[in-house]
Amino acid sequence: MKRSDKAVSETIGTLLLLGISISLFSVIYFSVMTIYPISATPSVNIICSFNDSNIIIEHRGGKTLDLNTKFIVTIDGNGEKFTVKDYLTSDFKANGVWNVGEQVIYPVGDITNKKVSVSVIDEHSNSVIMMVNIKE
Amino acid sequence: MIKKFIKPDEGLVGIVVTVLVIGLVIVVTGIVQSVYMPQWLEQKEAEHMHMVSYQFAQLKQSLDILSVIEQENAISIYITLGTPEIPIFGTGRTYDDLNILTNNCSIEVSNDSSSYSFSLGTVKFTSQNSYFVDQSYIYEAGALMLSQGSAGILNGKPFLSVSNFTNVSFTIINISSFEGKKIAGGYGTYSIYMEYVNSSYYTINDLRYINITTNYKNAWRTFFNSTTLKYSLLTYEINDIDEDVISVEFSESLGNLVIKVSEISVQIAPGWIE
Repeated sequence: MKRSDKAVSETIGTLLLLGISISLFSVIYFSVMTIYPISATPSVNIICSFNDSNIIIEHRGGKTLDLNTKFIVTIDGNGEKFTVKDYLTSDFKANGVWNVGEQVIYPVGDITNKKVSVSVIDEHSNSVIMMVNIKE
Repeated sequence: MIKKFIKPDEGLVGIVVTVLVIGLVIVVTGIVQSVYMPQWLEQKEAEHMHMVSYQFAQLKQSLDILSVIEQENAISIYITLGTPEIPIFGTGRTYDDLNILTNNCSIEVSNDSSSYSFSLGTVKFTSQNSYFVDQSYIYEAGALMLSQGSAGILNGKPFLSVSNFTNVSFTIINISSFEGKKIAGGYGTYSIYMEYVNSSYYTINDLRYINITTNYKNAWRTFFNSTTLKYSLLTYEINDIDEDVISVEFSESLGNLVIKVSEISVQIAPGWIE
């Protein structure tokens, strides 16, 4: 009888270890499988300039961006949010994206002695893709 | 007998855990390969395009210097073709092309009675990226351009100046080469050897038209809309007169145009021809 008891103990031990192993594996497996792939910041060159009371933001090559790409213009601490489609030249809206060579022209007015900063934010990756301070 | 029966069970947990761990490693590797690897490769290709952009800026700078000093001198610069693969995984290598194209662009200047026409060679880099957008860098008649799909932008202007409000000086750089030294393709760093040949000057009075035959009209339009001409006293109109021809028509036959054409011999691929 004693010999039989030992076998039961070893069998239960083995089953428990197997159960723990499978549970652990399942937890890790589902954790890995459900990782949401982080969208990378798009590789894009954007340049910002100021001319004739306008802030000009130009796509200078790289990935095309969505027309809903946001930009924030902050003047003396007061920020205003826009999307690219609000100020993209009408000829450029037809292709449905913000592509190389296309300009966003924002009429900012006189910025003499004002602190002006411009940020461009990609919604898809939720990342800042350009940030610049303009001084006139 | 019981002991003999139990013995094989002792290794069972180890075997099952090993199989599960191997499975887990395969799953993780699969996710890395299919989700994260494309992002890494795209980033690497983008970095490579930044490098090529810088190298083409050096190319323009060198050609401009050779044209300005007008002496028999030579300069070499280096262009990196292709992106290296990612270590361990061993994937992601790309291959690019570098070409010297003869008669790929032409510039014609004319007044009401006479004209000059120049057929020009260009230097062109074409990427063959797997993940990042394909780009081409082109040096054409002194201008540096970036082409991406059907769009193109001007990255560096040719020399154009306006003096006495209406007199225009325009420097054009013509690239020539030798057979067998015009194409380099693949992976690696290739040198571009540039040697000054000569410069010729042409004058045309009462300038009326500058017509440029090119594949990159948008870039040339940007150039002619630039401040040099825009803020001169010249009044002009830019028209597309053909699929690949852009024309600048000066509404009044104002001033004179002096064109300097510098010929520079360019060789790619090793084994220089003297």
